[in-house]
This record gives sequence, structure tokens and C-alpha cells, in this order.
Amino acid sequence: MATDAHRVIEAVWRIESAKLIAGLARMVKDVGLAEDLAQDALVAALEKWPDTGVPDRPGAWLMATAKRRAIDHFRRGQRLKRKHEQLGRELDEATASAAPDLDAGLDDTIGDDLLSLIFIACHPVLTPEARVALTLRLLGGLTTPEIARAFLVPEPTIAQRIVRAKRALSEARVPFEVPRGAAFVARLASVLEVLYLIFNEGYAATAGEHWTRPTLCEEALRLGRILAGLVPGEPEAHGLVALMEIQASRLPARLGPDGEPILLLDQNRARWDWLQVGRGLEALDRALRLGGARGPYALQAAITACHARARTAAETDWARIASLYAVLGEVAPSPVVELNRAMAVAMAEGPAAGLAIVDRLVGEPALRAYHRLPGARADLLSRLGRHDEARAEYRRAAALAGNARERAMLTARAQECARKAAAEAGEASLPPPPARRAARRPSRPRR
Amino acid sequence: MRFMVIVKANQESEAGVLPSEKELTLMGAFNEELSKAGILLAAEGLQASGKGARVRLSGHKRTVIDGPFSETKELIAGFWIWQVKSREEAIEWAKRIPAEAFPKSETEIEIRQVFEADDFGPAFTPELRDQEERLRMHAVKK
Repeated sequence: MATDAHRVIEAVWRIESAKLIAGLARMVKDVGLAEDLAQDALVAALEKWPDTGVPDRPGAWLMATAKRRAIDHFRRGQRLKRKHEQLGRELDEATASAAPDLDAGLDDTIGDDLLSLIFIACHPVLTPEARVALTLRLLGGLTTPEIARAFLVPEPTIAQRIVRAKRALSEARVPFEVPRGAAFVARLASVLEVLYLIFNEGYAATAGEHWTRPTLCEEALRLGRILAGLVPGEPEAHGLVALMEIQASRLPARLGPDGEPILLLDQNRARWDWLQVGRGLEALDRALRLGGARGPYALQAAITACHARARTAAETDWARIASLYAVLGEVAPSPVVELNRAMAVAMAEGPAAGLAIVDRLVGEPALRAYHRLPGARADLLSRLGRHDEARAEYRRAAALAGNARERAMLTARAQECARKAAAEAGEASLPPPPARRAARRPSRPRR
Repeated sequence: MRFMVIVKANQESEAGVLPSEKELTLMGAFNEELSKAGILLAAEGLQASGKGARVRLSGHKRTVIDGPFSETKELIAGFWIWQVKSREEAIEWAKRIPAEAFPKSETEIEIRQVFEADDFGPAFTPELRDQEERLRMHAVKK
């Protein structure tokens, strides 16, 4: 049936497209052109394979087809006669002894080619959104509609983003290669950032809200694993995979029956994907054995691993989490990290210790509009019995909160503080209860 | 999506015949391909059913039956768990299992989709699906 054949070809495309584009990009030295040629090969496959069936070596078939298109393209009055001859030679070699030679050639360079493709898709000359879109397109094999759905952005916007990205790379004459030395370190950081952006896009959204959101987490994870396989000596690549695996392991437990989010400490840990946790801990271990203990992703992975290692919320090693945040604060200083450290300290040493740290952050310009700062203060004040102050902070946090559900939760907590403050004020004005009778709360009108 | 990809047993696997070095190398290379593609979540071989047992549950009654079991074709010799985008992708990868890894007898691979939390219907699926609202509920405690 025609539609079945299409689904099969889609599956083959998903397996082969990144390598195909990468190999072509090495030859024609232009990522945009490489993708066009690859798309041509896909069109040819969609035309032929429903009748002939999927060939035994679909990757080789696609590559040979794309190369023929490339030669046509260059024959049509483009520059470089040299390029024509080179491609013609490669095509002759390929067709002379059919698939085996082609595959051998691919295997030698394919790791490098794929890595070059990853690096170029995440090139700093592109905007972050462009890097994300291009990565999902060239490496994930996602179609424009799929990317648009995933980011809740209109299709033409994504299409334009990708077109402009390719043009920018072309105009900047970005070389198709794996950078070396200091450039490699900087560019790798950009790649990791792009992957984590994709992951967070899927993770921060409600799981199950839209079928593409968990898909984004899966895609980021898949690309992360591919990257870690290509640069196995890079601890932060493993650190990022560890972070994503362990965070993703909690997706099944994050939502309640009404779609309300469940906080980490309240989640049913039996619903965490423990196989995935295992993979994450293994990846973290690799990062540490490579000496990457102070890498930001490894540190974040280690923090989230502390939760994964606790059978119950009560067994969480908060002191360790606090000290990891302290190291993260040295390596990648940020007021948000310090805030998280404060909350961990509060869990380990009591709310007063945490409040001391939070109070120092109150004037931070970067946190001025960040609702979690007053939210954190409110939580700690409340635990210290300072309900009036806590109520004020919860209201401040609610005013800053980004979405209705959070606002509602914070407002409810403010009201809860008001109730507690009133109850205590009421008790303070009563005579002390007689020894054997239980104290009765006076009834007071609710505010 | 996740799929469990099951290698059905055959006479050799049930006889406890271990794979040759060549077969192990080929399988190892295939697993490496899966790993490089970022889709390999688990891969295990299972020992012959002669070393295993069955526990039959019938109401409160429990019956233990020792292996080996006779219906070779229905037994399992190993499994993978793969993370792929579609059933067709799982099938496509299964077709790439190297032929020389199972030279002696015909081998069947069965592909079964793993249930995800969402698949369990209304009990697990949130009612409110507001696509515009992004819920960043990493609350203070997370």
C-alpha cells in the first residue's frame, strides 16, 4: 500500500539522512546545497521504492542518487570543473564495484563528517533559534511542520529561519570541518547548549500536552548520545547526556490526574524510569572518570543524581546538593545557582541558614523580575513562623509569576499564611488553656 | 517511542550453544551501530530455558514449573530495547541485523512497542491540555 511504503521510506530517511547530508556537505562544501541534494534523493526514493521495494543498502542508493544530482548541478554551468571531475571520479569508483566501496569510504570519514555537520549547525554566526531549527532539521531529520509544531511557531517562520541560516553559513563561508583547539572547546559548548535548549523545550512543557513535546526530549537525548559517541573523550558531552537522561526519567511522574504538575519531592518515585536513571548514572560516571567533575553539565547531572539516588524524598542528601551548587557557583556563577544553593542549605541546615543566603540576593538586578526569589523567601519565612512577612512575599511572587497556574498556587499559599498569622494572633490573645482541656481555636472571619 | 525487539529462540540457543567469536563480533558491531545512532537503550542475551523456570498464577494458586520448555519457537533468547520514532524504524533496524550472526537456523525477531505513561488512557492523561501554557513548575524545592 502506498502509505505504508511512505512510512517505510520515512523510517529509512530518519536512519540515513544525517549521514547522507554530512557526506554530501564534505564533498560540495555547502550545507544548504548538500541538503537540497539529499532532498532530491529522497524525492527519487519516494518515486521509485514503492515499486521496486527498499534497496538492500538504502544509504548507498541515496548517496549515489544525490551524487548524480550533484554532477548535474555542477554541469549546469556552475564553477569548479575540478569539483565535477572529483565527483565524477567518486561516482565512477562507487558504481564500478557497487555498494562495498561506497560504504567503506563513508565509514572512514562518516564520524568526522557527522561531527562537522553538528558543529556547523550550531555555529555562533547563527541565532540560537536558527541553530536549534537547523540542528533538528539536518541532524534530527525533522520536517518543517514537525519543528513548527514542536515550538508552537508558524511553519513559514521555521522555513524562513532555516533558509536564512543556510544563507548566513554560506555568506560567512563557514568551513565544513571539525574545529580544533580552543575553537573546538568553544564550539562544543555551543553544541551542548543547543541540545539542552531542545531538551528543555520538551521537558519544561507539560508532558503529554502535545505529542511533539516528549519527542523533543527524546530527540535531544538521541542527538546527545550520538555526540557522546563521536567525542567520547569529552566529559561534558557525557555530563549533558547524564543530566538529560536523569531529568527525563522523571517525566512519567511529573503530572497528576488533572494535569497539575507534581513537585519533585512529592513525585511517586516508582514511576521514574529506573532503566533511564541507570543510563544517566553511567554517563555521569564516564564524565567523572574523564576528570570532568567541575564541568557545569556534569555538576548539574550530579545534583539531579542526588535525587535519583534517594529512594524517598526524605533520604535526599541535601548537604551534598548544597556543596555541588557551591562548586557550580564557582565554575558558572549565577544568582539563580546561588538561590538554588540557598534552598539546599535550608533543607540541610534549616530555614534560617538558607534565608541568610537568600537575603543577600534580594537586591540582585538579574533577579528583579524572577518570581522564584520572593517565592523562596516566602517559603523560608513561613517555615520560620514569620507568616505575615511570608504572605507579603508570596503576593509579590504571584504578581511576578509567568502563568496562571503558578499564580494561583502562590496566591493560595499567601492566603494560607494569612490564615496561620491570624490563628496565631488569635491564640496569643486567649488566656492559656487549663492543663487538662484541649485548647480551642477561636473562630475568626476569614480574610 | 520505545520498542522491545525480541530474538526468538532456536535449537542452538536452547541447546546452550554459545555464539562463535565471529558471531559475537558481528553482533557487537551491530550493537555499536545502534549505539552510534543513539537508539540503543538495552541489549541482553538470555540463557537457555533449561536454566529457567515458570511461575503459573491461577487465582491464589501458584505453580512452579522448571525448564526446559518445549515450544522452542515461542521462547525468547534475547532482547533489545530501542528508542525510535516509529514502528517502521524499528523494523528497518531489525532488517539490518547481520545475517551471519545467525548462520545455522532461521531466527525470528519480534518487535513490541513499550507502553509509555500516556498510553494508559485517561487515568494517566491530563485533562487540561492547554498548548499555549508552558508549565515551568520547577518550584523552589526542585
